[in-house]
Amino acid sequence: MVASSFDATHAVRFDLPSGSVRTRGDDERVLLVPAAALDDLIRSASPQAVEALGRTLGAAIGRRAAARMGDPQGASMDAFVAQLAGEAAICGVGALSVERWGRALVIVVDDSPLVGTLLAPLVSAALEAASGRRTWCALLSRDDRVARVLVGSEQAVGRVREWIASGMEWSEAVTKLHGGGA
Amino acid sequence: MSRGETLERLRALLDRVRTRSNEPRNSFVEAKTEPKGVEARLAPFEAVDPSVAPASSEDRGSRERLVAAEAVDVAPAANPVEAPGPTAAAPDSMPPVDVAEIEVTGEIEVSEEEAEPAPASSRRPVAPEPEEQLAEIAFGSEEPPQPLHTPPPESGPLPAVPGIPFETESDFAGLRSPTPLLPRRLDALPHALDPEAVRPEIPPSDAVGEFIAQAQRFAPPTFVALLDASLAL
Repeated sequence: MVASSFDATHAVRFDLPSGSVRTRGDDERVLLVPAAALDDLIRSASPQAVEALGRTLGAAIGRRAAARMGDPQGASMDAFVAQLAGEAAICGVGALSVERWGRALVIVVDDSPLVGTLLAPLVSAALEAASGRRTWCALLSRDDRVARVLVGSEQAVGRVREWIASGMEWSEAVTKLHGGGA
Repeated sequence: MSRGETLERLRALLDRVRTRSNEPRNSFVEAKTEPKGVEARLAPFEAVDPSVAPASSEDRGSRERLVAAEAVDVAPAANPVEAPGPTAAAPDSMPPVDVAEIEVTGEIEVSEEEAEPAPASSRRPVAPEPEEQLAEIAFGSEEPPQPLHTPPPESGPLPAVPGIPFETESDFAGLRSPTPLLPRRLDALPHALDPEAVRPEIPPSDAVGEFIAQAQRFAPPTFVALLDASLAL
């Protein structure tokens, strides 16, 4: 059974003589990058490059979370979210949580230094790496503190993006996605 | 009317005023009250009652009398003048007479009848002042009037109030002994306080709530189940 709490012990190993930082589990070498430098990079990069960056960051988080869970397919809601949020916190992405709007899954990221255009592919890739499912994500909302990302099929995500672009409230769009609303 | 005629009439009026001012007072009054032909001519405009006896000079000096002119019909004079107008009646030789001079005074007796009750909104009585007060006003009272201001008190120590013996047992000292409770009052006091509870009787019912929609049946056991459900949208 997967523990519903995240064990952050030695999650990151700093090898000061060699000047390297590695994560536990996959022993992947990571880099402490200032968030401002990442922002500058995202501003000057193309959308495809931003999405690729986000997916790469998210995939690493998802893999480590899946390694902690052992059997992600049988993991409970709390256990899955706890390991995924723990790995996201180790990377400094923000505080990750889950909202369920009917049948729709919404990932909430609080206090994230990343922009929304980077968060959506990051979440998608993390979920794919952790669950083994192909997922698509759409950024529902982003303010100074909270970002919400809808997880769904490609068609569903495309419709929600259109509705939000036309001025519809994101909550209304999620409701409409279930077949209700206008 | 020409200018010369106006000046002539004004001169005549001035002479008449001067002449009358030299006459004695009584004769002026008599002349004032005596009916004349001129008054008869002016009768249609100022009613005069010749039957009213003229007031004596003694009575006229008193404040007790109210003077007013009564409007009565005047019989036509022996030598009537036909419908004189207000300005064209008198001949040119006669100066115009001031209407204010032509008045006959008559006494109005101060009635001894029952005084009319004063209206509620009036502070002053409607009835005339009694004769005694009028006499006081006219001739003064024998008693000297009261001074408006009393002299100030003499300075110096005030005399002490005569001593009153101190009595401790009396009510004067402000001491009160508690009133003993009557035995029935003691019995009436409750020995223990019991709350008076008011509990409404609400009958049990199994149809209190009304559900207008089903609660969420979807309860995925795993995160992947939720992810699959979301992907199925």
